[in-house]
Amino acid sequence: MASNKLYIFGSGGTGSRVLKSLIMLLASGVECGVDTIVPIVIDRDMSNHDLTRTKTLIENYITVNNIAPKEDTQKGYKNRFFNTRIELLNNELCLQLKDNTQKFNEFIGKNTMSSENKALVDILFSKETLELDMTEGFQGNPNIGSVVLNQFDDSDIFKAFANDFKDGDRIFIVSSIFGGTGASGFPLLRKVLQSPNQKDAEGQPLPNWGLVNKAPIGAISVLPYFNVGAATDNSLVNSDTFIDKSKAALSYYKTEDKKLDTLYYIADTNTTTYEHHKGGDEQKNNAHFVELAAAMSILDFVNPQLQQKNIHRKDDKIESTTYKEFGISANVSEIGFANLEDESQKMLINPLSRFLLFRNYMQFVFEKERKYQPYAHRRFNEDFRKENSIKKLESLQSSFFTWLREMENQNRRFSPFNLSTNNAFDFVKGDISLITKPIWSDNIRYKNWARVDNELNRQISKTDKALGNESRFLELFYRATESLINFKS
Amino acid sequence: METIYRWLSSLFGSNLAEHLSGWSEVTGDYTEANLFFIIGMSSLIISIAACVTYYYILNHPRWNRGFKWLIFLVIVLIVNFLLAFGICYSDLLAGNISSDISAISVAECLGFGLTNIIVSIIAFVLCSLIIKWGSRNCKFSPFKF
Repeated sequence: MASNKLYIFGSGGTGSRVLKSLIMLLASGVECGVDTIVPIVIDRDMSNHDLTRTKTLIENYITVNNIAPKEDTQKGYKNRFFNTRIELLNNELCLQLKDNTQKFNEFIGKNTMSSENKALVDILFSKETLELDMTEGFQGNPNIGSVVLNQFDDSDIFKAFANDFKDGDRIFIVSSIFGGTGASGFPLLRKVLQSPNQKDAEGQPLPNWGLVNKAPIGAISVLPYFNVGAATDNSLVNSDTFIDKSKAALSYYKTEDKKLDTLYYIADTNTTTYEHHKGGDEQKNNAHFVELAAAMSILDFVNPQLQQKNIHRKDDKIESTTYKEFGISANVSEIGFANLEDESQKMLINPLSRFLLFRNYMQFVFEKERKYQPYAHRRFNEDFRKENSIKKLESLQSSFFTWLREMENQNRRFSPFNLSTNNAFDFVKGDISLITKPIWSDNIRYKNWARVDNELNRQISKTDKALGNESRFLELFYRATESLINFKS
Repeated sequence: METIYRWLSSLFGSNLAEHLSGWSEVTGDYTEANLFFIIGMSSLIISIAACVTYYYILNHPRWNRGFKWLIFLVIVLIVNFLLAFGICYSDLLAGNISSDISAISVAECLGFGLTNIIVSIIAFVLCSLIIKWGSRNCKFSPFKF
């Protein structure tokens, strides 16, 4: 049986944030055309908060995924929460560059250069660029990123990637076009992945490289969707240059035609202005709908029903690149489910609504009701929430809520939910009729959270008794929320 | 049914027990309606009906607390007390008690009402234990097993 993994290379801060959105979607149970996702983040700024948040999220996801029953009609498992496996290479998320030089002039060895070469370097790079502290990334300078990142194929993770790669696996690259790391990393990475006979630093050929070379490959290039305020330090990040840098990069990307199977573009002109941070722990941008849409492009790329649209190959050679963009039905400042096209509605409404209902139940009801409800009797007692996997689940649910809240607080708000309600069934905004009609007697008898408890008590007998408590918990909540929320477009 | 009540006859006295057993001064035998049976069956039916209502008709996730089950029990006890006391007391008022049975007072009627409360508690608890398993939302109310 052919392998079915997707390796996602996320470049820079945007790469981390798009991965975060993807994790949220997978946690909520969106359909994903591959069994396993292998995320690899390329970022020299190891302390950037977006990266550390994504790392924690992935670790939590993996723990919960290990106990989640996977949808299986033969076994009678319906659960789709945390259904897709996430695997880390060498247990690491980040592709660590071997070189840890702090300043760019040290990296290029300016001090050891001849005076002629030094003069040339001074012409090519400004004094600020040469003195740039690269431990906080490339601060929007793809020109130095492209020099430094040239070494990433020598990292342990990259070797592990080659080792792990099998026939049938696919590759996706996520990067922004207007920053430093992403803009420079994307074309470099694509080039390395498709160069034959790649060798490591010891001159040994990387294993499975032929398979990597011919693997289906997609990418998303995220165009400007936010600005940063004026710098208060010596940062070189300047959002006035975002558009010009994007134009320059796009003209270069023309040369990528027929080198990628599918190339996705996304941007937003209604930008939010973030506080200026050049990188490090303070680089913590709120989640944005653009990142969610970018994560959806990954799912689009691996959607088995779209393979004929996305991939045009003959004898393993790309005949043409498919270009795709994401759009909403109207230029509104507040995006709800109604503003999404059918395909997006179908992908998002049920999983996000079900997972939010699950989160809200855990937040508002579980502790109070578990003593009384038959579904919890002798299964989910007072120590249940102290189980590691349940703690991780709740931590991820809390991040999920924060993620929704952050998307709601952007200039272009993604606000399909009423996040301030404590009630069970008024959390979906708009006129989309989400909630399935229960049998009339249930509808009369059970209101608000009692209806959810009634459904949990109904579904517990349908779950497999052989499952461990934590696994059964996920199966139970998936069944109950599926029964209560079932949007059909 | 009568046997159960007779175990507790110290609460309402042997005279009332004779009347409830259907003693007739005319025939000199127990040929009148056996009120132990009528009151006992009625109380049992009321207890079962209340149990079925609690566990299957109401069957509500917010009513599966012990004290809500207790509300049902108290209602059953009130109804069954009134039933037992009411029948005895109305016979007493109407002079339907055989003259060869020594005088019966209101205290004995109250005693029989109390007896019916005890019988109803047993009936309601037993019925709850038997039928609770089929209830979706209340199967562990009030017993946590």
